Amino acid sequence: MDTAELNFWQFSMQIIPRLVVGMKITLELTVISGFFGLLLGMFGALFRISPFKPLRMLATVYITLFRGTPLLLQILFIYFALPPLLDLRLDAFPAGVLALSLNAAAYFTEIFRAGIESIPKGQMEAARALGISYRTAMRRVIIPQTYKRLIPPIVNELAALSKDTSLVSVVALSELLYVTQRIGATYLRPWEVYFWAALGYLFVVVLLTFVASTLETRLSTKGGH
Amino acid sequence: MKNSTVIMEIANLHKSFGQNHVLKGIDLSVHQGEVVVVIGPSGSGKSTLLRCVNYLETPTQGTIAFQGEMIGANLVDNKLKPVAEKILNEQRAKIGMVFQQFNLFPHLTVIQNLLEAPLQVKRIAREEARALALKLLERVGLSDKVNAYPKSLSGGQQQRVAIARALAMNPQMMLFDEATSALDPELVGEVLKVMKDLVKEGMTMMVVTHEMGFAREVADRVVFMDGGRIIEQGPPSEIFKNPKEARTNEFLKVVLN
Repeated sequence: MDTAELNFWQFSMQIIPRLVVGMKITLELTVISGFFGLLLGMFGALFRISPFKPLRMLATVYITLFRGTPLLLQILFIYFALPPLLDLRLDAFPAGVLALSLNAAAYFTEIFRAGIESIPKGQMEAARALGISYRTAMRRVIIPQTYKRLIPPIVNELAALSKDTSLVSVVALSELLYVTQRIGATYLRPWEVYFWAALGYLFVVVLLTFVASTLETRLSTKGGH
Repeated sequence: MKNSTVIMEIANLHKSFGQNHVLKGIDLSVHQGEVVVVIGPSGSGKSTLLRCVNYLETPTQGTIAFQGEMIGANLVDNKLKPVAEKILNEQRAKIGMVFQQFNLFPHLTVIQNLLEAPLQVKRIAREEARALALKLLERVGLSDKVNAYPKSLSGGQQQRVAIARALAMNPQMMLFDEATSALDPELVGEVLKVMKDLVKEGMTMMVVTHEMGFAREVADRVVFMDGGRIIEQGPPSEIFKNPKEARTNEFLKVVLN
């Protein structure tokens, strides 16, 4: 069929199902990398503020490395350089997840650290004076107080992450942007294709923002601070 | 002196923050049931002294013994070696502390503030801890605030909760670090009353305060500090009426007028 004769809606109906398949991969990349990034970032922050110096240094080196080099390079490095270096050959999807998680973790580390350090020193002192251990005080007194104020910067970083997933297209993973480029090139009708792709990314970010604001209201009505 | 048993013994205590030598050799013993009130100008080191007692500050030199056990460190080859965290936690649990800024846990209700340490540290049964907490809240006159969050309480109420929270660990001694200094004047009285009730019950207390009335009324001994040293100490009648040292006299003249 000659797609050049289709009007905007007809053509859109034809490409949207394929874009949705790409968007599913984009969502998967975002959710899985976001999860591991948050998890790693939590440990990163605890390392970063640890009373034990080697842990602090380890975290600092990690952050410097992953914030100091382009994400695109990190993706290429994991996909192309790890096989000869460590004899580790990853498929495009796991390579993308690994790069995105490690990169996001560096930013999450700093977000969590800032959150923990924003809690007044007197909170830790009061807990310790009661005989509560450092670990328990962190877990039960300090960290719970950071939840609410951490939501905005975390959503910020997750929104950035959801768009950064597009960089994984460079290793031919058929996420949203990769699919978009291919369809655009095949039909030579770029503007409709990129228009719907943009809406796709927008949808992911708006969804995220909605979940976050619901969470934020729930936390603030729970009482307290 | 109420009882001749020494409960706490501070010996040659020094504390420096970088070049700043805040405590310059403090020797002080506190007896069972005694109320020691520490007064002195700001910067004299009185708060630092109190914070050293439960190791919120690590002394640079010197020792603190509580019920015969050295707090926070052991002497090994004449050098101070920090004890394991678990042991320090047990030692701290025996000494309650009340802060100028209350430091209640804002994400927990009043009763949860009181339950946190007994449940997490002593691991006593929830029902038992709850019964004790309710009794303590009644004692500080806050039975109606059991499920309130700290934010909704006045400063005086918050500080009374903080006192109850410290008492929930059943401490052998209480430290008060300028417990009324952050309060509006009309709220000071309710906190002082709770402190006086504690004195009546025989609690051993070390109190850093600017409330000279409190010192005069309930202290067994007043300690005057200046420049990181104890300048003079004695019963309040002596210190307030006939201070021996010129510096004590000067300080009292300023604060009592």
